[in-house]
Parts: sequence; structure tokens; C-alpha cells
Amino acid sequence: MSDFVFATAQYESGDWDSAPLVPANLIDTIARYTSIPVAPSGVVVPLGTDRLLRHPFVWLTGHLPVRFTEQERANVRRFVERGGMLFVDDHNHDIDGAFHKTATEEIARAVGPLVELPNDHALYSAFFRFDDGPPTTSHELNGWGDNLVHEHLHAVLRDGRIAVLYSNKDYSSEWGYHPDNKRFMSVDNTKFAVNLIVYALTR
Amino acid sequence: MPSRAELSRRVLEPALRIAALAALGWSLWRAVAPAATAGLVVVDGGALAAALARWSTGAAPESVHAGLDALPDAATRDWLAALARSGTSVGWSVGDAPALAVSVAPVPGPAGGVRIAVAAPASRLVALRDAVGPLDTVRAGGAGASLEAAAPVGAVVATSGGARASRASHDPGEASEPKRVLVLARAGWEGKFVVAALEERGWRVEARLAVAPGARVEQGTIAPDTARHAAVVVLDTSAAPLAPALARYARSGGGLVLGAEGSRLATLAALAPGRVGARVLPPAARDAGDVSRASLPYRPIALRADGVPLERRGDAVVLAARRASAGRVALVGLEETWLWRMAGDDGSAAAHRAWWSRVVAAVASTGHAPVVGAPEAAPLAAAIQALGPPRPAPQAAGAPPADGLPAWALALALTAFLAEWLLRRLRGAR
Repeated sequence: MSDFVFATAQYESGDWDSAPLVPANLIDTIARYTSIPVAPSGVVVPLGTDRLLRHPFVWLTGHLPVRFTEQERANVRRFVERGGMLFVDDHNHDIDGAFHKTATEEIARAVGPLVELPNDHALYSAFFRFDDGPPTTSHELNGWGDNLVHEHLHAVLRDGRIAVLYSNKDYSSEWGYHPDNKRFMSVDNTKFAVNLIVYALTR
Repeated sequence: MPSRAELSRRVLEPALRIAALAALGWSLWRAVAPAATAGLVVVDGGALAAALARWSTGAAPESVHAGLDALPDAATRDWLAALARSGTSVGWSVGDAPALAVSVAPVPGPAGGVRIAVAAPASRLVALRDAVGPLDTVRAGGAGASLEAAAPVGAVVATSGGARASRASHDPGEASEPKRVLVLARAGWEGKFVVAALEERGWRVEARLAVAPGARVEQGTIAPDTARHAAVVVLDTSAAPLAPALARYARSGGGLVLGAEGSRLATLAALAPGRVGARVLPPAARDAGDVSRASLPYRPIALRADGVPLERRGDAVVLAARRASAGRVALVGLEETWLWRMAGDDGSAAAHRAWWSRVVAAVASTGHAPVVGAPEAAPLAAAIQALGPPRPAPQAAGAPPADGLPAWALALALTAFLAEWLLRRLRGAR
């Protein structure tokens, strides 16, 4: 049985590597709470290459505008049609910012428009229970003084399955720390990542 | 002193004369000798029904030979057998009636339909039809022929020459809810994409995917049940708590598909068609687009005596099956088939679905009870069993031999006379 490998998407435009600590932190979380065989280190997967298809779960983040090349767009389409899941997180805490605008446009061009994911979706009970939907991040809760909370995640669905999950709640900032620092936290704020991975591996 | 040649002639001439006279005499005897078939009545197929009725109500002859154009139907066959048991010697012969047999079995799977298998001599054309009309015509190969068809109406009838076989299938009017496939695995890409492949092919899938000790993602009813599940796919050892139940399920008629790791569960290993060996990694494929079923890693299967290989990779068996009591068990030696779906060529996702659907269908139970009746699936075999093997019609008394005076005997006599005359001419005698 092959291990789960955490894959970070590399794309030609923007700053794809804006959250380098997230992969290690989430690998630690998966190993901590589940018995899923997980590779001890993640990989970087260029969206424009067929290597993307060897990692059915891929995480994409950034601050800057996103513009896919034709090859990247075609690859993302193939990836989704074959059963892959792409998680896109806006590393900015804003509303209608450049990353949000361009990333949502590119997703719509590649695979279709995003729709609001209801907060009682199976994703929120895939492992841990999140009765109120997607957990808020500290950056939303007065982190920048605006108390701007995004109530929902958005998704592109394929036969009821989440193919692309889009977040502008800035989980990239929320999870961007060394896993050893979890010992200082009363609540592990990376638990939602377990739901993401378990959902991807079981649906 | 007579010469050697003269001595030879003195021996040969009488010998040739005796041979010629013997050949003629034997031919004459065959022509006039009383047939050892006194009391024999030979009847052809058209008159047989009336004759049977006559013999059953009146005096039956000592010996009967039925010369048929086609194999007898069940009623005629049984009637002749009854006549034989009543003391009449019954023989039979038939024209062009090849050994023919047909079977009809439902195809397990969401698409349904039936598989029609025909056994006939090689190269023989066999016409298939049901109550509505023709289905197809097939040519028998070395192992017969088979085809899949939508549910036929009434019995399937196979005809070839004078042979006609028929077999009823299940009654589509009694179609019950299609059975499900249960997938048991650890949360991972293989379990996810096996479930996806089977669902996309129309199977109804229930699943239990283990995530952590005591934590599972479940979909549907997990306890294996022959009434509910056509097959169970066990990919790894996460199914260990259910192993005894799975063994009972398989022995009771369920279909079991074992992944390489799943076959290591001791209870299930006893049912598997073989044992998997060390992992083999083929030469690494180039970047995705080249991952095919042939380039997947695999564990070669060492077959049990009754294991049947279904797929090979060179000399290695990578897919095998065997019957386990009332059920069937398949063993998959291929690993990481999800890579084939995700990273293969444009047709790989469809091929992956089709392959897994075929593997499951190979062992799936349909739950259809065989139809009782319609015992004409193998008419020649049935006739031989009831009446003995067919034999040529014997010669009736007073009739010339069916083949006339043997030409070889006449030729022998003529040759012998000619040879004797030549010898006599050579020595000058007349």
C-alpha cells in the first residue's frame, strides 16, 4: 500500500511557495490522529506536468494573482476529471482581492464555477466534527482588526464529490508554523486538515 | 527336374484359383445368407410417432431401428426407452446431428444480461434464437463459442444440422434488487479509486475504509451477506475483524476478491487461489501518460493446485481465481492500480473501471436459482444415455446389403482369375 504524500502545487504565476511550513505541520497532524500511512515529507508538483496526476490530493496557495498557463489549465482539468481533489487557499485575508479574483476565475475556466458549500456537508464530519462548518482562523477573528469572517468554503463538485475546494479563510497562515509548537496550543487548529485528507482519501 | 519357375507356378496357380473362388463364394453368401435380423422393423423419423403408438397398444416387434433425420425430442426419446425396457431391442441412427449443448447463465453486474455458451464440434455453425426470433449465429472454435446478450425471452434454442438444444434462463419477471459490492480497505488511494471505479460502472457499492483505530468511514451495510452482497473486495488487513465472517460468506456462495495484502489474513489465505510473492517493480514508467496496467507493481501468485490463472505478466500470474465450496475467490497480484487510472493515457480511467468491474463480476454471485426443466441442453448426450449410442441401420432379411456386393471382393476375384490365366499362358497351357 502506497503512503499518502502531501503535494504542494507549483504554478508559473504568483508565489506558490508562500507557506513553506504548512506541509510538515499537516503531515504531523495526519500521523498524529490517524493510522493513514503518510510520507514523512511532502513534494512539490508542477501543475504543468503530468506528475500532478500521481498525487490525487494537491494543495495550492499564494498571495499574488494566479494565471494558469494553457498546459496548467489542461492538467487541472484532467486531474479533476480522473478523481483528484485540489484544495486552494487564499493566503491573504481580504475580500475580493487579487488572488481571490484570479484564482476563482482560473478555477472556473479550468473545471467550472465554484458553488457555496453548505456548512453541514459531509466534509465537516469526515473525521472531526465541525458543527458550524469551516473553522474560523485567528486572522479572521480580529487578526487584522476587521473581524471579517468568511462563513463558507466553496467547491466545484463532480457527481457530488468535491473536486476543487476553495478557501479564503487563510488556513495557510493559520497552519504555517512548526509542528512542535502544537504543544503550546490548547486546541490544535490543524484538525480540519485531517477532515480534508480523510475526505480526499475516502470519497 | 522342374525349374524353380515351374515349381512356383504349380503353387501359385491353385492358390490364385482358390482365392478367386473364395472371394466369389463369400460375396454370394453375403447376398443370400439370412440376416441375423429376423424380426427387425426399420422405421424412419416421419413414421416413428405412429409406429410407437401402434407398438404401445399392440404387439411390438422383437427389434426396432429408428432412422431419424434429427435427434429425438424428449418425449420420443423417453418413449423409445420405455419400449426398450419392455423387451424390444431398440436401435437408432441419425443424419447430420452433431454433439451440441447450450448453457445460459446470468451475467453478474449492473448491466445484467446473460452469457450463452455453446459446445459443438469445431468450425460448426450454430444458430441461436429465443422465443422472439434469432439472436445470433456463432461458429464453434476449439472450446465452443459464447456470447453475451440481453435477457432472452423464453428458452434459448441452439440448432446445428439435425441437432437442437435448448436451455431456459432465469425468469426476468422475477428480477430482484441488484446485489451490492462491499469494499473493505484502509483509507487510501487504492480503496478510494476501487470504490469509485465500481460505482462509475454502475455497481451499488458499500464500503468500510479504516482511518484510525476505532475510526472508520462507512457507507452502507458492512456485514458480508450473500443475500445482500454479490461480492466483497478485501484490499488489506484492515478487514481482519471480519475475516471469519468473510470466510463463511465465501463458502456460502459469495464472491471474494482479495488484494495482495488482504490475502495474508490467515482465514482468507486458506481460501485464496494462491500465495503472493515478493513485490516486483517493473522499470519505472516515464512521466505520467505511460502508466499502464502492464507497468504497475505486482506480486506474482504461486497457484494452488486448483487455482486458475486469469491474467499473466510474462511468466508470472497476477490474477487468479478458484472455487471455494459454493463461492469463488479471486486474488489480485497487481498493486496501486489507482496510478493506472490517474496517470495513464486518455482511456485509462475507463479501462481501470472496466477491469475492476470484470474482476468483481468473475466471482460475483447472482443469486438466481437454476431453472428446473427444459432438459434439452444436450440432446445427443441425453439420447445416448437413454438409448445407447447410435448405430447404422442393420440389414433386414431378404434385402441386399446396404452397400451392395463388396467391390473389393469382386476386384480380388477378378484379379486372381486374371493372374492365374496369365500364368497359364506363360507356360503355354490353356
